[in-house]
Amino acid sequence: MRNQAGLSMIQYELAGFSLMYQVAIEIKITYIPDEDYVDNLTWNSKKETGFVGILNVHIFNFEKVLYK
Amino acid sequence: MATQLNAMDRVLAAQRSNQDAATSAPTENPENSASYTWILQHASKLTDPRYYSPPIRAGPYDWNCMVLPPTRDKPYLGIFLGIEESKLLPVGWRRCCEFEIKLLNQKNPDMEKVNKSRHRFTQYVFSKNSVSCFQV
Repeated sequence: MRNQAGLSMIQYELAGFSLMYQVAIEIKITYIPDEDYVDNLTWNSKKETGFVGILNVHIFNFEKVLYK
Repeated sequence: MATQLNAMDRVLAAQRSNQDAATSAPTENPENSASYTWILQHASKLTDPRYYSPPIRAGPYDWNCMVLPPTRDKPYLGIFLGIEESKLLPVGWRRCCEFEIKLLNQKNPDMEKVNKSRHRFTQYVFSKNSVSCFQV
């Protein structure tokens, strides 16, 4: 798909990164009472210390997600 | 093109849903669950170092999502889940939840980024400017 400037849609949007666009984040939360909490073992056992969360940094590459 | 339209329809539907203040999801106990789609408009022009979603009530507590916009040095979008006003909670507080955070791809749903897990938030969780949060 090409616009009148001859750029592909992807190229156009990358070139227009400074243009306005919106980001949508879907958030689903289910509260678990502390006494019912069972670790699902997807993180390591030190997770409750909190700082481990930094090691599990999951970075979303903004442009790749939206425009790849 | 049809895929793009479908994805946009989902976002528009989510916006309408948010406007209706419908934050409950059908589960065994609806009061313990919440679903919210946070729309950040004009994302390329965000200038603040971080942005917070409105409080999301799940169970007896309010949660929120924090976004760190991309910068010149860090060209990525950081998404965090946290406890609303955690600095006001008593020492030793603990909050547990199961969460699913999805960065919607408005062009291709197959490329959406999803992170689903559970976590026990405590006062020791990564704290930045007194906001306890957990990067997802």
